[in-house]
Amino acid sequence: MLKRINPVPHTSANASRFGPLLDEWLWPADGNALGIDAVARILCGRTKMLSLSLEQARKVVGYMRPYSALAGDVLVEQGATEGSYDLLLLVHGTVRACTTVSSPDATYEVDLGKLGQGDFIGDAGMLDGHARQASYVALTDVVGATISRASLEVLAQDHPGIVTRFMATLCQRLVVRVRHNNRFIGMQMEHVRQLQDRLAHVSPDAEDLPSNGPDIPLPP
Amino acid sequence: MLKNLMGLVRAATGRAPGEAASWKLDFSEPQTSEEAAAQMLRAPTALMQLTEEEARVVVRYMEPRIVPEDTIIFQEGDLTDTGYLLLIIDGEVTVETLVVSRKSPDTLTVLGPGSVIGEMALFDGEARSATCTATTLVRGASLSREALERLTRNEPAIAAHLMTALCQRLSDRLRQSDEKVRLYSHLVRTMQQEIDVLLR
Repeated sequence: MLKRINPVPHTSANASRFGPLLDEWLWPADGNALGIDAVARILCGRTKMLSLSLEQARKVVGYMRPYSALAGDVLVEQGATEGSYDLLLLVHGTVRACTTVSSPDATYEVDLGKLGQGDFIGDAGMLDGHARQASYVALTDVVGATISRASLEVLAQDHPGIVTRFMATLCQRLVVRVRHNNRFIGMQMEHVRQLQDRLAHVSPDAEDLPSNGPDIPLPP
Repeated sequence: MLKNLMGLVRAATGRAPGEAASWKLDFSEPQTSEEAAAQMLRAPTALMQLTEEEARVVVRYMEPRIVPEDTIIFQEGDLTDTGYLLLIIDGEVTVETLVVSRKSPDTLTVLGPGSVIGEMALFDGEARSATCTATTLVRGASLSREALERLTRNEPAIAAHLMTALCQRLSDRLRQSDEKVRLYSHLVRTMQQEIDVLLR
């Protein structure tokens, strides 16, 4: 059976929502080849170099465990360290990444974008074991596959060439997200400049105001 | 012009296609240039997870490069020649980007020995995300996709460790960029609140 990480019980009512997805994605303990292939196809042939072949991707999936979550579930909570060593591959569904910003007068969420099929969650935590820096919330029902750091280490011993290719796949997905952030940061930099100009016009003491806002250092 | 310069330097190393790089460049330092490259590859700003021996092996798959002062190494938006990253062994590189509606680029950072540039395009083949210019004479070493494929065939365990190190580096970049998104979002929100107060 697919297993969810979060503690919400998987009732029979909830299970019916996964029915159509389970038909396609489920792989039970006896290693249903169709389910494994469906996940493997998501992993293979996605990179500019060192792509995983279908056969190599199947081997990686053999070291993974199935995972599911309901729409609205919090897959990962910002600041959490428990389970930090697990990497989650999204097989089906959409997840929202967000981060909480706290200031003396308010706490609010900043959107970091949406993730879908083929995206990874928890790469940083798996690699360095540090606390999660963002929260991930399921926008739809989600099906995925997890691999622990320990399993990856065993895979590295058994098939180092395959791990190289798996890491290249992971790198490529990380690059996509960094580029997305860079585009957003570029727009925000422009927005800040426009606000600085506006502030200069509306403030009677414009010269005395810090150009980067009160008590907020500009990012390097 | 840069590609011509790089081609001339590559020709000067006398390496036949498929052969390991020969580090003939004289850095006028006690260490051989290969040792210097291996040391820089293990810098905290590069791939410090590699062991000394692993770094030496990886360096043999890298190409030595010399970039004259004031030469553009990577041009923002360039889609050609994206198939390699560059390790800075000696010298200084300024990283700039052109933000929307600006006429001159903003300087993001200045990088020195032990820094790696160009790894993003190496993985996805998309356009270079920033302009990197050698502000001094730069001695470096490049690692291409083709060399990584050869390393994976010949030294699978070391390639796995190298790729994991690159992955961690990109993961750090994602964490840093997530933090920048937070900071800029907070800055925009605070400045907008200031304006709203002043307009009342």
